[in-house]
Amino acid sequence: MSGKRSFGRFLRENAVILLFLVITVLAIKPSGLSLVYIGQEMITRLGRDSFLVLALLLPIYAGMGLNFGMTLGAMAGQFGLILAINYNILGVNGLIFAALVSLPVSLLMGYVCGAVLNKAKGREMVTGYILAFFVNGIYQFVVLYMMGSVIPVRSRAIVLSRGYGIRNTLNLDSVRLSLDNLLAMHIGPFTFPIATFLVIAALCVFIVWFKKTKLGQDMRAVGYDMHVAEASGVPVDRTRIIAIIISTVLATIGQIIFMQNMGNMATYNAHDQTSFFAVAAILVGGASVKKATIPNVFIGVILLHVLFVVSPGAGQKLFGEAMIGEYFRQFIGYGVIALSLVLYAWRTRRETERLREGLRGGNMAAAAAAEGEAK
Amino acid sequence: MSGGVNNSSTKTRRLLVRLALVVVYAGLMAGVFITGKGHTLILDNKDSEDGSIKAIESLSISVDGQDPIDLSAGDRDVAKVKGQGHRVEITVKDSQMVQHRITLPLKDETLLLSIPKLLAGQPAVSHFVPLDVAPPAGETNGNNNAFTSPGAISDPAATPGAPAAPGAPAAPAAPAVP
Repeated sequence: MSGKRSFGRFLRENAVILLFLVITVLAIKPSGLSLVYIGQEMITRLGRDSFLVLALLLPIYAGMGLNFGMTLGAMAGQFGLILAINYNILGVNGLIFAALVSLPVSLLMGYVCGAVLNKAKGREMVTGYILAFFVNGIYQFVVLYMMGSVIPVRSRAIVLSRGYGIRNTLNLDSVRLSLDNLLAMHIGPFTFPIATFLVIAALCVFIVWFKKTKLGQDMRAVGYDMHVAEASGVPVDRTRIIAIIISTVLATIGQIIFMQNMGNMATYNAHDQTSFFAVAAILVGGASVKKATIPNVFIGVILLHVLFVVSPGAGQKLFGEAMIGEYFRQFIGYGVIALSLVLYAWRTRRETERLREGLRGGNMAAAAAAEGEAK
Repeated sequence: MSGGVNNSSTKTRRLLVRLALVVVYAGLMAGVFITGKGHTLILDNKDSEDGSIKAIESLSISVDGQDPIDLSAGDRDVAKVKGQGHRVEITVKDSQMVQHRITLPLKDETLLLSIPKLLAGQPAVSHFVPLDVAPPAGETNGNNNAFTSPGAISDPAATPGAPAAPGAPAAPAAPAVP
């Protein structure tokens, strides 16, 4: 009986990841892609995306849910990259220059985002999402009208022919793969971007260390129960703002790493999907709005991207059209987010009901079990 | 009183630390900018403008250990470089390799390196001024309707100086002026 219950609990807790695993495994065969190809793609995409997804962890620890406001950081990163391309700074120097230029912008963005989210406690995700749309307007204004007119732009290759505004697509050849190729290692048929992995590993170490610091403990206390944390003397608003600032800064660096891997940048919409895919990845990895770990990030990136890689081929084979696979990506991304949020809401409500029933019936053991499950 | 002094000194120290951080940040940015700035170096093996220094008949040149480029007299080629200081290795035909160091100005992105001048020990790096590109034959300054009505000028012979279309009968030669 207990085994059955624990199996059911395992299924409930890992519904998203299991569903995704089944779909992915089923799609691999019809895609016709070799395992070596899929493996290399996974290595590349782990390097490309992991940093961005890791940026989501701290706001989750602080109980702020999935930080859709990370798009603000992505925009700051793109601004830095535009300047690096403008001044023709090559290689890793270009990436560091972009990060240094965009850091003050992302600090400011993070502070503003954190302050706004503090005004909308309990509705952080939707507020962050809408805030990203608002700041997108400012970004477009700066890049489309101010760059070249107010902000000097030297490179004629990146300016629109009218003399101001940045072109729709930027060629990032001067920084392309500069981090990935810095310490590339070939093992068998695979190439590993060791330098990128080291940067990601450093971030993981930072997150593990940060959780043990006073600020990290405060963040977890705020995430667990804001009112109790406040009563215990934790500066809740300040802690939440710091969580968002760190997340925004990490998203800035993550977007720069992402872009150097891609090699070109859609100036006006590259950041649109940043938070969306990062959130989808961490949810696919088994995280929830309240709980996430570092392994969730890597499992999610691998699972989501295996499906992204195989879905066009599977779509072609099963439906005779590769575009079906492309639509499938969007469908899966939004679907996973929706499913995860629904499951989270359903699970929370169910556990609350069980807890209440246990207390009403005087069955303390059941109440304690439900409380333990809720934790 | 003592507490006030301590408070003031803490504030001053904090301000100094913050200023130092800003300076370090700006210095780091400047360092990354200077060492990462990319330049296009045009390797030029032509006679000097006044004709005093002649082009080298045949040579091989390598910048910062990149693949060597072979140049004959009158040739030009391009090397992409990063940073300000560079090592240039030149091997003139049938002689030993010569090594030179050059420093590029920060503000110019495209620069001309005159190899004969470098070998003669003269200042060899100069700002590259591209020639004004003349519009291709048949393309005018836009004061006609050729763009909005392509094919409006159907007879190339009607346009003075324009080359005849391939396969078209040659326009009669103008009488020689004595």
